[in-house]
Amino acid sequence: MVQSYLQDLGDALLNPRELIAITRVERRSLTAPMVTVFITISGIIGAFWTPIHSVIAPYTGVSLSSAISALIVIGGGFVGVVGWIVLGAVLHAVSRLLGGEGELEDTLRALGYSTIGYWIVVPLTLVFSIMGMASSMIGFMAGMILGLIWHLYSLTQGLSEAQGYSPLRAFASIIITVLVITAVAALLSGMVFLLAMV
Amino acid sequence: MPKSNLILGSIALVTLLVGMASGIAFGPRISEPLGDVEGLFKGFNTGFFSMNLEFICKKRVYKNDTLDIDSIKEIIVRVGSGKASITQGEPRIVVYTLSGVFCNINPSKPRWSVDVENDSLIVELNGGILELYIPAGQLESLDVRVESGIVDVWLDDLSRLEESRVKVESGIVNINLKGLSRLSNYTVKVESGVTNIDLDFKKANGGDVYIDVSSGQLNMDINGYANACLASSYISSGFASIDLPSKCTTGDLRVHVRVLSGIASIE
Repeated sequence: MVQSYLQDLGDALLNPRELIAITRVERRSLTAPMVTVFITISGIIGAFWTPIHSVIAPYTGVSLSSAISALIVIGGGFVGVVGWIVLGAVLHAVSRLLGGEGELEDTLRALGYSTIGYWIVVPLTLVFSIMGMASSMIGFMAGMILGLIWHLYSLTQGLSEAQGYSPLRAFASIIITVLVITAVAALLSGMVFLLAMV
Repeated sequence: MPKSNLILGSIALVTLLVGMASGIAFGPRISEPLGDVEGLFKGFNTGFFSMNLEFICKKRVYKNDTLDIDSIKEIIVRVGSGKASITQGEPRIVVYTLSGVFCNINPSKPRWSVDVENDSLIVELNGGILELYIPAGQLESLDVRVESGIVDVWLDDLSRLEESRVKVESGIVNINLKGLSRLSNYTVKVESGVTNIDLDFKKANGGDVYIDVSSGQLNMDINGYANACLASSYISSGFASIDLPSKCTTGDLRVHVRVLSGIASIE
């Protein structure tokens, strides 16, 4: 089972279209993509948090800082899973509007597996951390850019297969989803700001 | 399915798990208080992030009292290539590393060290930036040797300082000593670096100032009382500018300057 999962992760990075086709035919559960989202988000947060953790530890004590770090890293993974479901739902709705014919599960699988593209963030952040805090941020940003490219490639291919439309439409669906999410987030932020002003 | 996918998937998963574990467990492991100064270096070798060093040093000084800076009567600073800054203030040592690299790459050659021997604080730096904050009231001796780095020494209330030596091979040294009342032996030797020295005497005292400039540049300013201050200068080929106090309470102030090929300017 572990080997199969590792194979899926590799496929998500290199052959996402094939992976989504197989998982759809086999009607696999959403557990594997959900675990992927959790581990990826936690891993990214963990790498980002490591130098910060080492800085706060002397002030808060090792036990407290470890507890805080565990909360942030693990909690971040759970938040990532919730975000995956919300984002997946919006992405699926947009995909359907653009002529997609897939199921919500297919979209969630494509989105969930594709997050593994961000794995590159971890080694870059940790390696650059050796050269200091500022460098670790450079490594993190570089990793995020590379990860985003890999993520978009995997998601575009996977979504195209899941929804049965062209990669161009898949990419358009992703962009529109990002715009919608950004607009909603901006709207909510503005409302919160206005309420706070009142 | 190609095997390369399996390998890449394994690498990705392991990497992400390492990232998770790193965020939770790695930081505190390298932040733990360590036994002694020597242990501090060993601990840092096993560490991962240079950021920790600053905090480890603070911890060492505050918590374990390994360095009892309050009782220090002598400071010896040797700078190989980094930058050392010694300033009046609450006892505190801060060490940064230049470009953020490991402070101690080779365990047998620590790039910096701080040690206490018989009321002496010995600071050695071969890279990185060191800021040392000390209460200077007890200080009786100050010895600064710079090979190629930068040293800034700003100390007030040096009423007990009796002797001080500065040796600059090629670095840049800025020394500003105030509140001097016992300083009787001050030696400056500049081989090729740039040295700026300001001495401010709080009250009259006797003493000798020896200046030896081989080829570097020395800018020296003596303020306050200097009623029995003997300045003996030897300038080979460098440039020395020495400002002496305009008022001398006695006629004991003597300046001896011998210039081989350099420039000496005495006001």
